[in-house]
Amino acid sequence: MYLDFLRLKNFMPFYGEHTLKVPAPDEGRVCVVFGDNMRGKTSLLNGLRWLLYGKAYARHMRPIAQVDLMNRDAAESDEASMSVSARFVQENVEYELTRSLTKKAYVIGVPTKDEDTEMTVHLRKDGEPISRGYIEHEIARALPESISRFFLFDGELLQEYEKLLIEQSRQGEAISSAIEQVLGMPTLTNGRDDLYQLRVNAEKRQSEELRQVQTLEKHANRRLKVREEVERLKEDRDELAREQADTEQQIESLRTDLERTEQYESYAEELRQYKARLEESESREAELRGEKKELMASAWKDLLKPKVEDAWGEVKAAEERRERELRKSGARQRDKALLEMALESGECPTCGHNLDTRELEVIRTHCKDTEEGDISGTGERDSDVGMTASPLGALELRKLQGPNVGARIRDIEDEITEKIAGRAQLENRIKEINDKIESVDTDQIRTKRQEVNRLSTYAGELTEQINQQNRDIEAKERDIQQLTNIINSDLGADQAGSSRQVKVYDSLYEIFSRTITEEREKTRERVEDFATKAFKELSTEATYTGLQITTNYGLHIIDPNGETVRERSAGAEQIVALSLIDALNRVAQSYGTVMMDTPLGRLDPHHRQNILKYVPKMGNQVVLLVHEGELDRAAGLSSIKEHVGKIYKIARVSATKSTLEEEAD
Amino acid sequence: MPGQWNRMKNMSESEHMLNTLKSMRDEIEAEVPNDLLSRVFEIERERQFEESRSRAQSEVREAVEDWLSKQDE
Repeated sequence: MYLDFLRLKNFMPFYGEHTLKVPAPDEGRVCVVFGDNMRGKTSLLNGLRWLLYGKAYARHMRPIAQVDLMNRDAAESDEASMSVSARFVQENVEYELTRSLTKKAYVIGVPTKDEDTEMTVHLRKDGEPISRGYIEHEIARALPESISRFFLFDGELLQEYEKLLIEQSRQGEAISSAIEQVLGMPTLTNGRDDLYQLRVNAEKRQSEELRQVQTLEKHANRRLKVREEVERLKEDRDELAREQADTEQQIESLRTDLERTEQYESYAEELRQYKARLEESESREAELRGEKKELMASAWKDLLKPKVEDAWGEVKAAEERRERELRKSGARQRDKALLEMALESGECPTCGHNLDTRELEVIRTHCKDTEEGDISGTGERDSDVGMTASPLGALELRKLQGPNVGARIRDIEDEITEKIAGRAQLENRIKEINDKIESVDTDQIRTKRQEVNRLSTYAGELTEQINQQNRDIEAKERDIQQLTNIINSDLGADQAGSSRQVKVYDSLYEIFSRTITEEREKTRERVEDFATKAFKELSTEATYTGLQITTNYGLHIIDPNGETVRERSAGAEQIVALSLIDALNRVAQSYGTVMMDTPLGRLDPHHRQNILKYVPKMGNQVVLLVHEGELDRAAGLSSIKEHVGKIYKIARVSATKSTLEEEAD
Repeated sequence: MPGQWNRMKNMSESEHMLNTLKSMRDEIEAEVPNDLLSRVFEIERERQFEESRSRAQSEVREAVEDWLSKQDE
């Protein structure tokens, strides 16, 4: 089987008609489509999904309304229609499928809801049209929707595979059920369930008939009663399961909302930090301004400082001069007293000899000169110290002197300027963040998180209740089986025509049930073997010994000590998911077309190369939808060059339009 | 795409599953013949992708009743 082409017309960003011609397996198994984010890679995948099942999904498997799949420019035009078609060949039968959506004739203006549009589907098998009523049935037979997750590989799949590791998770059960469908298990599981129902019906008929038989009346009534109890328990369990499914859906939806607000939460944290810094900056600035104000009270002294210093210098010099004069004057007074004593006694005051007339005349002249010198020295002193004659004046001059506050004030001003500039930056950033998060209610986020916790606890309680119901049902089924054995072993049972039917259905049910257990065990072993082989080729961690499968088809990585690796990176999850897909393909013993959206995004260059080398082995046609950040055209593709049949590029035309262009080799 | 899921269209796989059913029949010594077991398996294989089980159940019931009536003859 291979896909020949996929054609999109006015589908999402693909305005007009765009065709992805997929190379035939002998032309190269890999078709690479390059496209930047938001250009239309996922739209290509959704195009194929919508063509087959009339559904398209956004992130977290949120359904997209059909009317929103129509390109906006096309929707606003007179044509207002879109279509997707494909041709594929399987077992020498050629299928051509087209699905179209057109605005209803009576709708005026742009269609805004699905009811404004009409969908039509056309299918041809080897050129022969298939009647309308059988088309969906043919598609369901050829490509059941539940297995689409294995050939339409997107990011959602990775998240789903992680749930496979949670034992008894409802979602895990749903996925493992889809996996078993890929592996052909529904033949056995449906058979078992059908036979169970047929046996129950036959038992009821038998019980009714045997109420007339005296020996079996009691057992027949008892069995009918227990069967009624089982049915009630099943109804209750199914109700609980629906409740649980609703709860898990609510949790998923809340988590999607919370994931969307995660970025806002980081902004909110950033905002808190900026506000704290702003507050700190404002407080520091106020402190600095206070200090500056205090310093300014004595800053005028700095202005007077040169003059005060000059005046003070003069005062100091005058004081020194005065001290010198005082010292000189003292010496003169002492000399004068000695001279006057000599004049009076006529003797030398030092050696005591008699002074002659000439000596006395010299002493008298010297005394006179000393007197005159004293008079002139005192006058000079008084005028010199006139300015500071008063001690109070000197004290006042001292008061005019102060510490050098100017330098400190300049430092403060510099720091304040710095704070103002920094605060402007903080305020701008706060404004930017506020603009971004103004639409987000942080209280609502907190409430949602609490709700997720509450619902998760509730879902856990529901799981326990469902498990208890299942245990009760199993116990009652055992009671019924015992009663059936008693009834069947009684000869009187032959009086009921339905007794033989009960025995046959019972045997067939037992055979199918045991075969399912046996087949599941064998299939899981095969999936584990193939997945381990793929994992060893894909992983760069050589010490891991392989993968171990769970009852849900989840896969654990096993370390060299045989222990399960508990913490797995996003990259490891991707490698394990790819290994599982490959194993399922191989166990299903056939290869088809696989379309993979951004499969290398979470991986390092070594793992990317490993996967690229492995991709050609994963199917007879692999369409890789990648952006150039995850796959370098030249270096990345060189390792699989011989397998690459075609390369396309999704190019931007406008915000709402893209074009699909084939690139030359 | 077709082929991946198509294990049951592969006859050897189908035969393998039927053989497992038959060996289980022998193991529990069930009083149902291989013909009836094969017929039930065939019906379920054909109807495996149908969501409503009423048609499959009705065909299995017919097969069982048909076999029982032949036993009476």
